[in-house]
Amino acid sequence: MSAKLSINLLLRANFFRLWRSASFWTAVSVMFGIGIFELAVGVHARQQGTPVPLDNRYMLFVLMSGVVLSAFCSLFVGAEYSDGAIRNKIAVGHSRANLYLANLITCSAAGVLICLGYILPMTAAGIPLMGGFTLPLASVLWFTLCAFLMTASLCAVFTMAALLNQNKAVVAIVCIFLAYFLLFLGIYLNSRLTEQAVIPAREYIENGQILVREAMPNPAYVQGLKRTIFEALYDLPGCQAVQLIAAAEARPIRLPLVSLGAAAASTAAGLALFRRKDLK
Amino acid sequence: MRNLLHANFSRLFHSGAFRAALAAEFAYALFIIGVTFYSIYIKEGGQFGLEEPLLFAFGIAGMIPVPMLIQAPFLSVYLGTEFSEGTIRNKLVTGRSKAAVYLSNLLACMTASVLLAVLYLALVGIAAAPTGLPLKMPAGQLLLLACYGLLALAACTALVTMAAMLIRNETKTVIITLSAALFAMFLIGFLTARLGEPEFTAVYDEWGRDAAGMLPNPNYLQPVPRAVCRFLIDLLPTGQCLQISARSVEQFWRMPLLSLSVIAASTAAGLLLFRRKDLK
Repeated sequence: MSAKLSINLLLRANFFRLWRSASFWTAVSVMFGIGIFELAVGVHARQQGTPVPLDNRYMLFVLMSGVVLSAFCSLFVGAEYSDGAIRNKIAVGHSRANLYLANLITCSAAGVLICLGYILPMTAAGIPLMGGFTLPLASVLWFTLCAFLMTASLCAVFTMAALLNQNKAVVAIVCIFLAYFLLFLGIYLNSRLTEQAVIPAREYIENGQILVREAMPNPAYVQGLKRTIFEALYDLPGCQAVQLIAAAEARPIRLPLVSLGAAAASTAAGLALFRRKDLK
Repeated sequence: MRNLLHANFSRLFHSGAFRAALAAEFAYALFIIGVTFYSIYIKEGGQFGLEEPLLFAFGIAGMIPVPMLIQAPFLSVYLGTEFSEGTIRNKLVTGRSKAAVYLSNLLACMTASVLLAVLYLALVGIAAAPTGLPLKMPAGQLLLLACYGLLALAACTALVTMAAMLIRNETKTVIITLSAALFAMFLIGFLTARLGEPEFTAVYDEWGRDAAGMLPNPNYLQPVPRAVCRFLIDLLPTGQCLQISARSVEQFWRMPLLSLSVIAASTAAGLLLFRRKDLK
């Protein structure tokens, strides 16, 4: 009973700090600004005659959320150390596990709210300006849920980094580079894994003659163990962002499970290491 | 001023941030040496000249501005320490002017940036010279490009120094400068792609025949926006470095002038604002 009360107090304090946090509102504003920009790009493209669906613009937030959150988490969680708040919380009797989990829950909730900073203008103005979604509503909702879970799993990784290292600047550098690395890795893996196994036969004209090129195996096609490794990496949070956009219609159940698994693993590791940490 | 410079250099060579930057530059040079050796001896390509791995000191093939991504966090942490440990107040208390403090920091940072690039050039030069790679560019032109690159790095340093001296918070400076470096990378990529749009596009039928002749490309930039894009790429230090790394410099005379203008403008603005700043 006391442990539950304890984490509630920590959560209340964290959310109180969140609403007054300049870094939180900056992150929300950045996502809001990106949402407006992407919407304007979509509307402009439609005016030029390119049939850009709303889904195409809506889903982009999943690519940027990791990057924005990496900066936010390092600032927000890092403030616990710089103001000695973490020592005070432990001194008044809160357990380290509760302290860790309270930060994780706050950052995950902030992650969802930061994503909503993009989603709200995109849907509120996008539906009247660009028409509704072309994908079924269930697919859009599935995508949004998976994106939130991926965001939460990234938050778990960033929270772990921020609570295990007291140097806020180093944490910010590591988290930002990690977020970009995962994103670029996802883009690279997507391009490698979507290579066709066979290059189809093609007829073409050269010097006025119709020539036929037979179907042939694609040397760039990834197979065997390498493909298994690539597919496993492609499921990682961050990399998954690219896959989520590509697979929104198929709705594979694997992706949210991997996000939950990654969040659980990083939280378990973070908790184990944070318990042993000398907080000075 | 001399004492300040002496103190700054002493701190620089003992700084963990500088050692980390040296390690990162060393790792980057080793990576490029590895790729060069792989291309020559394993892939047996080696169609490129010696200038290519050397000019990668300023970025990878016109795409990734690696020196900026090393410089931005390193300089932010190095300069941020001045504020977080009260060093800057002590310097002012002992009678140094704010201008002298700013300029000594700028000079120390510029030296550090140039040293990092020179370290790369020396390592890659020593490793690649025995491979017998021919120089496919006049030596004078290579030297000129290297000097322009160093000047562009100095311009980037001036911008980071201005940000660090005005923001004062180490973590916020890291986040802002690193995000700006990455944003500049994407912006240059976007602008370069727009400049590369052809004026006319051919329309082919399924047989690969020219079906409708050449159609005007709506994405082709007209002279005024084209000149603005070109100017922006040349103005930004990241754009200059990426052009040098891709050996695609078009206007040789303009780049050093723009670099010097960036250094002068950012230093003047930084000095002016730093003088008025309340250092608490």
